[in-house]
Formats: sequence, structure tokens, C-alpha cells
Amino acid sequence: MQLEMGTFPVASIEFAEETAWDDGNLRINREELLGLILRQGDLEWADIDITSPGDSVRLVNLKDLYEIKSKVDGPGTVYPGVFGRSVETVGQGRTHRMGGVAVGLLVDDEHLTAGERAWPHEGGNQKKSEQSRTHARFIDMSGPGNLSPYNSLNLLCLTIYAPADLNHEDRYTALRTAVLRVIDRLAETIADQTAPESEVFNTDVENPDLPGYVFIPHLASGEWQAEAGPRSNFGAAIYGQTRLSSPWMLYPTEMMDGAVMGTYMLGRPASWQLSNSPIVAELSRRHGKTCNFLGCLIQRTNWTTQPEKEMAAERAALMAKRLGAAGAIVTTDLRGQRFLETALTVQACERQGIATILLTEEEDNEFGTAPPLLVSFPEVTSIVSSGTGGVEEPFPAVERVIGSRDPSDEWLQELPAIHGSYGSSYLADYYGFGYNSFEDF
Amino acid sequence: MIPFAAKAGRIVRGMRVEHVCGDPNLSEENDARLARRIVDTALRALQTEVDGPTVFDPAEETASAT
Amino acid sequence: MTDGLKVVHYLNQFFGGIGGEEHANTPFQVKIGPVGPGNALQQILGDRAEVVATFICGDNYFVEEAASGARDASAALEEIKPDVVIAGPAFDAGRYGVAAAQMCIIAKSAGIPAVTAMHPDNVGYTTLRSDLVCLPTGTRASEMQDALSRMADLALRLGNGEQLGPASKEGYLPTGLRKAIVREKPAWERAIDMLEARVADEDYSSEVLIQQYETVPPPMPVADLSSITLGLVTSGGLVPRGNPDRQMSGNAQQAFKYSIEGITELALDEWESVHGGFNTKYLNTKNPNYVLPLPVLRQLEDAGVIGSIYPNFFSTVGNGTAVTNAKRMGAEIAREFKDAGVTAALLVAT
Repeated sequence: MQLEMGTFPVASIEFAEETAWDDGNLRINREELLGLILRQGDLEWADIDITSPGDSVRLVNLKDLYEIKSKVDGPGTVYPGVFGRSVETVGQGRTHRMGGVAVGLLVDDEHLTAGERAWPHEGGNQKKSEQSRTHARFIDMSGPGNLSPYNSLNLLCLTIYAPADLNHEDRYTALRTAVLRVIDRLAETIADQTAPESEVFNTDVENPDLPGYVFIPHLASGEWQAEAGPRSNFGAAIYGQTRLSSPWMLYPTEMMDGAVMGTYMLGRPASWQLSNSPIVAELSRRHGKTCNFLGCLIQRTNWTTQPEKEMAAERAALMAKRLGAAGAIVTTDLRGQRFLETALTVQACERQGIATILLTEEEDNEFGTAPPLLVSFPEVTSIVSSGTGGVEEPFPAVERVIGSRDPSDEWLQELPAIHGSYGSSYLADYYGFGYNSFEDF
Repeated sequence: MIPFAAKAGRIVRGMRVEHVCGDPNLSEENDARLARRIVDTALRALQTEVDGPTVFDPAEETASAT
Repeated sequence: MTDGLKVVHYLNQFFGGIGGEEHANTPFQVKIGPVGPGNALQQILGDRAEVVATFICGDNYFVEEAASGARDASAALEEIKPDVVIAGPAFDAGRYGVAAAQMCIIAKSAGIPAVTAMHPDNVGYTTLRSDLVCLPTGTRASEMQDALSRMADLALRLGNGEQLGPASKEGYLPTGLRKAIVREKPAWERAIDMLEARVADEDYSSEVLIQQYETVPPPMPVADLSSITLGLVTSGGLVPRGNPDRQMSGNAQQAFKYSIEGITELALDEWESVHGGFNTKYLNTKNPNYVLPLPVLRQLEDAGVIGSIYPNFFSTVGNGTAVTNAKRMGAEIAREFKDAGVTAALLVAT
């Protein structure tokens, strides 16, 4: 599979009469894009804001980030399979993308219950129980909270007031399709232009003697929590599939075309991160030179019995082995029992003789009294830590808040430091964009 | 979740996280039987000498005498 | 006389030249200047530091007569006022390792930095590591020179008031404490580098080391179930409907105690689960007993198979609960059970 990726860098974004990309400047007709969002009758209020790294801006309610791109040649559509989009296999032909920019989906949903906001929980009692765990609702564009990748992206923020009277699936669909309409429209502006930067990715195996590598990201499935079960639209999806399934083998270029979309959770927007994974990009670049990048094995987590977890781990390892992998890089997302499943995959791969690197967050060390990982098998020997997700100094007061229809003044104030621990962190770095880590003393 | 990492001495394999001691997909009668078998396994574990972490499986439990 | 630092060296009865195992009860004593391997240590230190005194103590004495050993050591430190204490190296001698570690801890609480060295499996390190600067050694006394040399380097720096960097950089064994750092390359790049190093069979350093979890020796089995009281614990987050005690859905601080006296099953309209880590619909709409199998236990109690069931059960949640809190809760529950004569317990884990 060969994909030519044309990049249109964006150095600045501004509101203007027309929507166009022109030599690094992205102009947005605000009314036009608002119209696209509000076309969906259930959405009653939306707003569009622009921000860049260094701005004294605090984003609240950021649920996901997306890249602006489209297929200009070759089969399929970017972000295939979600919300009725074509499921035709992507990763070939030519794709045009805007670089240095992302579209944020900020959902003002404070008027909804905890259960309605995030992972649905039929019959559950999260409304009544004390919510002791709070992932940060905000991301700062300057100061100690301006972390990768937000410190290198201009953001076009779509704030949408969450419709209250819909069921969970319909609400989620309304929000997500609104963003996709905006992305498709913006991508039109670069479809017929010549890309200033262009790169060809081809991971066909020419030299079989090079060591084979696979990338194995673990994505939690909300299947057991969603009303619609395996057919739910909610959460991380591969070609639109959210269900608990055996691992999916994707070509790296399929991921680059957005075949894998992210989780929709505070502190861990992932669609942009997955389609811009630097691991996928770099291994693709080294393909044919120092390695063969054999593929991306997308593993689902949230199996609820031990035998299922063990079997899923084994399937991923055997798939990697059959492809000829000598090495693997494994990532995880939500912690808890899902991390156990990730560790089981690492163990299974090592037992197949595959040198496996685990890139993961770590747990709160509790001043040296608690272990850094929830579980630890002897085979899990090679770990890269992206830290605990905390920021140990206060977040300075800001001048502007984006992401709420009627933002509370509290958001403008200085906010206390966030000590990273399970269930309470600022920003989860699942895919290794950042430099924060921990070390033994 | 079987605590691989935890070093509890006696571990009994339950059903699923959401219903450890039973299975709502079974008939009431079979569900109760399953619960009984799991508890019997636990009692057997309490009466068994172990050197280190040991998993006891209700699937190996023979029908209870009472 | 040097301008350098004042060092106290701690040795056991063997390295201190008194004798072997039969002298393990030798009481704490102080000698002026270096003794035995302390001479090699002094050579290494040169004029940067002086081994002004050597503390010698029998391994058994220092560990078994801990209070008086500590008292003697503290008094000696008070009198001599060294800049740094060097203890050992203890290699793989367990009691020596513990004694050396304790010596360091005594020094530390007197405000004097200390460094020791022993094999990573030495119980002195594994049980006391959180308070130690401990260098790794092998098991052979033939490594003495190398061990002393490395100890000397760190001792000089500590004695000069320096803060040490991370364990992997400075060469000491991890204490268990991890601190936030900013690395030079982003994590994605470090992951690829680490993979290439492994595949090429080159050296690499994992950023997290394999953990050894505590093993609790399993207690002896129950001899006669029909005479015991069985305690019940659940991590399924069961609470009376309405959650009157406001139990957390995760990151629990406490386990709550609820009475099941006279109750043969947990009624659906009286109990619920507030656990936030799994789908509680079966517990809350069908049967809360799935995480506390009370009906079966009552049947067995009635039939005389189990002596009796303790009238209160303990309920908490996992789901991100801190290890320190979990340990404390466990100890509190165990204490109540023990005091009440409960000799066996069932924990339903979720």
C-alpha cells in the first residue's frame, strides 16, 4: 500500500469573508461553519474560537481533536466507517492534510449528569456515588499546562452545547457528525491545490532481512457500557467499529487516513493523536532502511473475564509472530483492568520471542510506597514512561476561556497543581508526544 | 480479575467482574447452584495447605455432599 | 590531619578483625582510625577524607540488641561528629546487610549522610531501601576494592552536601521513590530507540524496573470449618441504598462496616453498588449477592458446615484506591476480625 501525504502547513488562522487556505494562512467564514454545525436540528448553540500556543487561553470540555484532511485520490474517505461514512479501505492514493492545526470538539455538557456525559452506565449509580476522581476539565495553551501536542498546534475550537433531551447514542452522533461536516468543508479548501510539502509512505516489504516491527495500540471498548452494546457509536473506533473484537491488522497508512478514531474523554482526546502517531510515522520512514514496518495491530480492551483477556493477548502476539515481527511497540489507554490486558499482550509477545517495548503512563508512586505499574509480569522488561499525567505546579490565571456557553469566572483564576494518579490527572500522554517522565531515586 | 500480581495465598476463580459469584444468564436454579459451587471451592481452599499463591477453580469442584 | 571530610566506617565482627560467626554477639565498639578493609578505604580516599573512627559490632548484637546498639552508635556519632558514614560493604550477608542499613538510618536521623553497599537481594536492602543510599555489589569479598571505591565516591559527594541524581545515573540501588523528570527526547522516540537497541542486542535502560510485590505467607488452613467464625469482605462497593456513608466510586479512603445480623440475603431494594470501575447493572437491578454470596453462606451456616458468619461485613472499592490506603483498610479489617475471634475470611474481589 502506498500513500502520498500532501501537507498544507497552517501558521495562522483568522476569521474572514471566505473559507480558504492560502500560503499558510487558514481563513474561516464563521457563519458558514456555524451553519454546518447547527444544521443538525438537535444542536441549539455552538461557537467557534481560534487559539494558538502561547495564548492566555484555557480550553474546557475538550473531548476530542481532529486533523483536517481528505482523500483527493484513491479509494475511501478519511475517518472511514464512522456515522455512516464509507467503510472502503483507506491508506492508498493521495491524502491532503493541514499541518500545525487541529479542530477541537469542546462539548459544554455540565448540565448533563455524570452518566450522560461520558461512558454510559445503564443501571449504574455514578450519579449517587461520590465522584472522587476527576480528570481535569481543562487544557491550557500557555504556562506549565501547555504540553505536547498542544504546544505546537493552532486550534480551531468548536464549542457545542450538548443537547439534553437525546439518548446517549443520538447525542454523541449529533456532536461527532457536526465536527466531521466542518472538517470535510475545511479539507475542500486544499483538495485542488498543490501541497507545499509531500511525503510518500510505502510499507511494502522489499528487503525481508530487515527486522520486522509492529505497533500495537490498546483501545478500550465501551461495548459493555453502551446501551447499543457492540453497535454503539461511542468511543474509540476502527472503521467505525467500537465493539470488543479480536485485534485488527491495519496498514500504517490506514491509521494515517484516520481509520482509528479516539476515545472522547476529558484529558485524553485521541483522534488527532492516533492519525498523527509519531511512532507510526517514524517507523514508516525507517521502513526499508533499518526495519520493516509490518503493520499496526489495533487491540481492544475491556474484556471482563480472565480467559477472554488472556486469549485476546495471545491473538495479538500470534498475529505479530505470523507477520514476522521481531519487535513491537505497545501502547495503552485507560488504566485499571485495561492496563492488565496491555501487560498480558506484552507478556504474550515476549513469550513469542518478540522484543516488546511498552510505552505507558505510570501510577502515583505515593512517595515510594506504591509500585509504578498496576501489574508487573517478569516478561515486561522494557518500559518507556510518559509520567503520571500530572502537573505539579499551579496553572496561572488566564484571560480567556473557550469551551463553555457561559463559562464560570472560576475558570479564569489560577488553578491548583494536579498530582497525577489513577483517576486524577491533567493530560494523558498515551502515544508519547511529551518529554515528561519519572525516574527512580 | 485474577490477581496475578497480588500475592494472596488462596485465590478462587469467580465468574465475571460484574457478577463474581454467579451468572445472571442462567436460570435461577442453575445460578444458585453455581454460587454454591464457588463458595464450596472457597471453603475447600480455606481447608487446604498452600505454599504460595494458589488458584482454586470451581470447575474442578465435584458436586457438594449437602 | 587533612582539610578533608571526617568519615566513620562501620564493619561487622568479621571484617572488623574480631572473629567469625561465634563472635556475632560482639557488642558495639569504637576503634580509632581505619580497621581491616578501612585501610584500603583510606587509601582510596587519599587526602580528600580521613577515616577517623571505625564502628565494629557483631551482626547479632546490632540487630537483636537494636535499642542499645542504636544508642551506642548515636552516642559515638554525637561525640565524633563525622561528615559521612560508610557502612560495609555487606555483600550477601543478610544480618550484616541489615545492620549496615540500620547504621545508615541511625546516621541519617542524626543528620549525617551515609552510604552502604550490598547485593540487591540482601534483605538489608530489600526491607530498608526507602531510607538508604545503597550501592549494588556481587556476593564475593574479592570485589571489596571496587565496592569501597564506589562507596568512597558517593560518600565524598554526600559529605560535601551534594544531592544525588537518579539511581540509574549515580549507580545506586533504587529506594522505591520515583520523581518527575523531563527527558531529552519525547517518549515516542525513546520507545523506538529502546526497540532498536533491544533488537540489536545493545544495552538499554528500562524507565521502570520490574517490581517485586510483597508476598504474604499464607496462613495455615482451617482445621474445622464447623467451629469457626467466617468474616466477609467485598470490594464490590456494596452500600445500603442511598449510600448513607457516601462511599466513593473509586479511590476509596475507607471500608465501611454493615450489619448482616439475622439477614439471609442482601435484598435488591435495600442494597446497591457504587463501584465506578465496572458495569453495576447486575448488582443493582438483579442481585447484589453476586459480590457477597450471603444466601449460600447462610445455608452452609444453617447446615452446620460453617460455624458462624461474623455479623458485620466490610465493603470497599478498588478502582484506583491508593495502595497505602488499601493496606491500612486491610489491617483495620484484620484487626477487628482478630479481636472478634474470626479466624478465616472470604474476600470477593472485583
